[in-house]
Amino acid sequence: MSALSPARAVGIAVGCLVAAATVAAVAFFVALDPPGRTREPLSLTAQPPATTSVATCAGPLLASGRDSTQAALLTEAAAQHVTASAGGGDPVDEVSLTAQDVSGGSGPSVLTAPPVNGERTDLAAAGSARIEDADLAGFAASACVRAQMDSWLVTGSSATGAADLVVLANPGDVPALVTLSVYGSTGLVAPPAGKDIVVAAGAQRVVPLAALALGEENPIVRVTSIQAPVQASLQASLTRVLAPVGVDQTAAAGAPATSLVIPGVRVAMAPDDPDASDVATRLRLLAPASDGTATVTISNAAGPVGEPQSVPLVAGVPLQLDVTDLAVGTYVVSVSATTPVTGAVWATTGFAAGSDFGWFTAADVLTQPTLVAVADGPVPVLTLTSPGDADQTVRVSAADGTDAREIVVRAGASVDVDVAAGRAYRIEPGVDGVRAAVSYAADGALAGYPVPSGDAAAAAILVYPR
Amino acid sequence: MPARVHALLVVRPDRRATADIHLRRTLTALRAQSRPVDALTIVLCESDAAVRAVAAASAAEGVITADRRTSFAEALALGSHRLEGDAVWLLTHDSIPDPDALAVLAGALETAPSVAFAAPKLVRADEKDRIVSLGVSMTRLGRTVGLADGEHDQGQHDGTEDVLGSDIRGVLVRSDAWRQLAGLDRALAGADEGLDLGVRARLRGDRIVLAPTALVAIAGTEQGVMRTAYAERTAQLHRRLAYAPASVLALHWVAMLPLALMRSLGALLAKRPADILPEWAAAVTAMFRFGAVARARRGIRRGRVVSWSRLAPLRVSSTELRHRLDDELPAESGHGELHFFSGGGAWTVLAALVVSIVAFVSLLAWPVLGGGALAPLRATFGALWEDAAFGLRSLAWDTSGPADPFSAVVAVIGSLWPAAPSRALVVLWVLALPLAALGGWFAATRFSNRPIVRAAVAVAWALAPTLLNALITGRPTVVILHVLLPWLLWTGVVAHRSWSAAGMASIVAVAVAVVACAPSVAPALTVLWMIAIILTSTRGRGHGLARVVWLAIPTAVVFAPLIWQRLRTGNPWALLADPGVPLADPGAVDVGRRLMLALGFPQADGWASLSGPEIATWTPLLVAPLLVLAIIAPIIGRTLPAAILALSALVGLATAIGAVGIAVTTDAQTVITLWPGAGLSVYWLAITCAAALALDATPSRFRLRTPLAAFMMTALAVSAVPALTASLRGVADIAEGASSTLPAYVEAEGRGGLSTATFVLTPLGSGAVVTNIVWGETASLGGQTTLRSARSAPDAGDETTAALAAQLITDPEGPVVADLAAHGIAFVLLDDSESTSANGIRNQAESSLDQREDLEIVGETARGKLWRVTTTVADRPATPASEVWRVALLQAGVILAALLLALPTRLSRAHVRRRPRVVGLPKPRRAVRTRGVAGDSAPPEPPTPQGGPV
Repeated sequence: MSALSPARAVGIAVGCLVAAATVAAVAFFVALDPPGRTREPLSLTAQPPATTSVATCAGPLLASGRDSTQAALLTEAAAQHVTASAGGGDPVDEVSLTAQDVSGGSGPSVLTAPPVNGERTDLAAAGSARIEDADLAGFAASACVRAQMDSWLVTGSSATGAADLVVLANPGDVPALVTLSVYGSTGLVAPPAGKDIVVAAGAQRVVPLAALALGEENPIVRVTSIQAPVQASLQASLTRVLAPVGVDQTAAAGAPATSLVIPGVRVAMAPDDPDASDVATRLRLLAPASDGTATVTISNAAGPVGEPQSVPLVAGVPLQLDVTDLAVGTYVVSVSATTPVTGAVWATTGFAAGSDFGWFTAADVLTQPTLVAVADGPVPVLTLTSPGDADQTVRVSAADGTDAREIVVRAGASVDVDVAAGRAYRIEPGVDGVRAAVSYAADGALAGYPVPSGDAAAAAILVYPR
Repeated sequence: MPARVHALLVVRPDRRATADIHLRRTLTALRAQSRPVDALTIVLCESDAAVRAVAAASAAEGVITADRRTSFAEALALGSHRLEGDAVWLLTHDSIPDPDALAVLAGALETAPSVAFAAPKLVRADEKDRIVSLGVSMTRLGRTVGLADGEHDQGQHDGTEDVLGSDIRGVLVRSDAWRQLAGLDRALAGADEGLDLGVRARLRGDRIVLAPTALVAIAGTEQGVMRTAYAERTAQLHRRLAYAPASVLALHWVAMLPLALMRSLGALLAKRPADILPEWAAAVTAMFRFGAVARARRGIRRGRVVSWSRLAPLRVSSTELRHRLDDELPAESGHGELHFFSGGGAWTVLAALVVSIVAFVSLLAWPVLGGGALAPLRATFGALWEDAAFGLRSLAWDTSGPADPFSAVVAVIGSLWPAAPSRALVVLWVLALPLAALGGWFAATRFSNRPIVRAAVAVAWALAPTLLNALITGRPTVVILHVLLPWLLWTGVVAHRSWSAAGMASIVAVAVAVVACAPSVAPALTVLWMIAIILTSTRGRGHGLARVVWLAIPTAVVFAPLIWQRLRTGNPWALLADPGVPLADPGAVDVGRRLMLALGFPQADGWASLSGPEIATWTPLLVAPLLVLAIIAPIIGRTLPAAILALSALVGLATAIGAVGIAVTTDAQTVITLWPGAGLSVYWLAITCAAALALDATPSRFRLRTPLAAFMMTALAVSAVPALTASLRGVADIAEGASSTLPAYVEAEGRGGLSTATFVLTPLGSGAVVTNIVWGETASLGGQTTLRSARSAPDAGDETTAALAAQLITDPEGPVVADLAAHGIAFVLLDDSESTSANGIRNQAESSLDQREDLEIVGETARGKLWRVTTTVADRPATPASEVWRVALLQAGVILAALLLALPTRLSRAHVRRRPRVVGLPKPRRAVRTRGVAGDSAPPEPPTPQGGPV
């Protein structure tokens, strides 16, 4: 091998240096954490425009089979007295929907309050009806609520003696296409009668619950609408040995949740009442999606009553839980479950003619000052309960500002506030928010409804423009 | 024999300060004449003291001092005032006559009284057998033709006597003729003086003879290229106006500017861009010298005794001209056959094609590519280019501005299959591997002449991890960049040699754009470009510098509108943003990632799913043979190219590592960092070429080259298995796409163009909403714009969009749809892709849209639920056409110039053939000289130093 020329030797030496420097630089780059540049995604919060507040009521009490030639014909049995109020005393427009399935009815009321100065107007309304007919007797009260695309009717029964009706009202401008599916003892069924019910714009449709789930003790109906939201409500009535033993109207509840609180449950029959031939208070629960466990806690103004009760839940099958040993009074039934549940409490004043029953459903948490309408009826009581773990002060005043009261709501207990029938009140909750319900109890009259959250201002929407 | 010869010696400023030396040599030669001059007058247009001293010391009977700017003709006119004698000998300070030159010239003048002047044979002072000029003629159209310029003197022209004219230097003119002709035409400043003098003499019935045995050596240096071109063109135009019949004079005058335009294009085609400026200057000069033209025409008319037709035999015919040009082509050398077919290049490309077809067999049936950052292309030729034009963008409310240059790249690709532009992208995908192999092979020809080395580079380039990753994850920018990058190297490293290469490289630079596809590599390429400039100016002594500088100009012009927009809005970082559909980088930014980048992998290599994580930890090391070869390249290979490649690799790697930490784009709620793939392509090209240098330098006697190359290729092939099988295994991100990102109903309705839009609402699981406004029938690949994806803050259009979205979602009444219709939005789409039906905001939006009276439900589609606006939809206002055209014309003009430069001509091909294909070889002894235009030596070509720019 010949010796390297000097030029080549220099070339190799320089080459070695270049190679070593390159490897060192690569190692440096790998080891180095270079300063980067970060940025945030672009987003905007857009405030939805103030829209007209709309509340749709359950409508008059309906009676079926009064015409012997037309057993299925529905007629109006008793009109509903509506109490409505808009925030700041703004005018409330009231129109009646067309009752397509009712002969000669006036249809349910729809209350609207347009926005004022670009701000949504608070609107609260509730209706009540009293009837003392041979086939239908009792007292019913329910809140007038917003129509929804997806809602749950957790009350009613189609057992013997019940003549319950599913009432669908469409206050909007385009027709709604409604599907009713029923959770019963066999799980979820989609009855043919519940398919593709067209509710015309500004109209009301009535479907007998028996047509959906005949003989079902504990049906829970899911109301799914497309194209337009509907306000679903259920009129329950019961006849025992030819004697009417009560009537009630309840508005549909929202989506199932793992926490269910039913305030204002009125127990009107003591457990040791000699007329108590049956259990006078019952809780109905459904976990629509999956199995789980629910813990039921009952409390009143003094605090918890009895021990929490734990019950297993089977997906899709409603469960009935007898609530016994409760003295006459107002209670809060709380359910906390491992899976989203929905449900309601049924209570009655008796089992003989002249008695009445009522369904009590879950209340939303009110975090904003909310208007509540107290429908006309005997001895109304506003029950407040706190969802948090701390005591808080809630201010309750009449809608016109008078009669203001500072009320301390203790954690784990409820407060009953006397209110006047036919008036509207404003509830101003503390930081944790509050749940509230209005209930009525008297001889032959039992009813209650939760206070719907008055979505005063829709939350701003986070928008990512592409 | 003329009794007296009066020599007029003109000393004019020289580019190099050697006028005194030349003058001294010329004076010495004059004194040494066998037939001495009888009188000598020196005209000094040079104020240099040394020159004056030399002139003063001479035997001149008169020394006239004139201004520096005095032309040769004017200087002679000054000297003519003192003219005495029967003949005048016109000399310059750098024309050195042989001792018997004057005797021969005087003899020639004696032969007949009709001879007006006799011209000597001008030769190079340093090479006396190289003719500078011996007789000048012109074509029928007046173009000057040197009859023997630059030829090797073998006595082949010594028999020629009668000519039309000659070079003015060294000419011996009969004094009476000189006076009657009024000397030289002073409008001719530096060219064609002798020709013009000859023509005028001929028209007077006189003759001009050559005296080929009278030698005058020319020692002077060449004038600047542009100055010479200006002088020659001015002279030609002036002569045209002077010689033309009066009837067509106006026509000539009017045609001058259009002609300048055409000749400028011709100059581009002929790779002489330096001629363009002189062309225009000459045209303007010649057009407005009315006095000079009138004087020249008067002079001709006054003494004319014969007709122009008598001159015809002395002109050069076009046939003769063609023969002459054929002879001028130099011999070939140093540039062997390419051996693409015989050297295995074709087989490599074919093998890559087979592998590609097997790996992507399902793509062959797909009309549109989808997945990753892919999107359909516009369906028509016009719409493709509309996306690439300045103006309103086809996304968002009313974003307006320059298109990404990448849109033009997409438009070019789509235009290759005008009937179904989206299919062109599918074809590109299938051809990506063979095209990459082809490019790699050609890039390798700059580093080695050995077939095995070239094949190894081709395979290593086609199997580059960054290309394979881009193919299966659907990143068109990186695929196009990777296919084009080797061509940038192939042309860029020899850009300093020829305009053809420079023009080609500049186009590739635009297209690869390299910067259009991945602006993130622009800083790296800028660094390499500057290195190329430095190398050209130092090692090549500046020769070809203009060509290297030109490389960046088309890119700069194409990007100029975007750069202007970004600087104006104070968002320069956005210039780096990856164009096309924003696609997030799923990888982390840590040492492990940077190590993968250093190995060339933009993401994991995919072995984990085939072999399990234990083995997959080590599989990236399959690229080690290549890296080791690249590292030893500076040691065993040619040092300078290897060092430049090492630097290029570092720049590429730094780009990739820097890129993963820089976030400039967003897509809805996702923040997207720059993709490192483009930087890695630069890195991979550098290490692949460095490996080629190392393989090429492996001593042949060890017989190691083929085993090493085979080992390297095998390792890379194994490394590529997961990527190449990804499509077959169904784990690739690319998928068959639909021809539109919108429902088919919108696509059918939107075929008409970009005048109506679809408002797309995409509810997210979190309750937020993504909005998008898509103009036309689809969101297209070319319609993407970094004006949107890389904007730094929401603009007014975003505010409007968000407000409209909130109204659409929550308010079933209100005037929102009327606002949409007035702006050109005809559809509302609720995209379900990001949410389930249980999503609250989705249901709210659906319910609210369903309830609207001014929206009609079209139905549930594969892309979500669609509504149609039932009120009258106004068309989108168009961008002012003038603005579009201004920008487009400027950009198209520069691209056209680059294209014209890139077109090879016979001459440029011949030039290329004279240089070795491989760069960075030691400086060869040059066997063939460049033909000097006027006999002077052109500056030596640079010693082929380039390893960059990559």
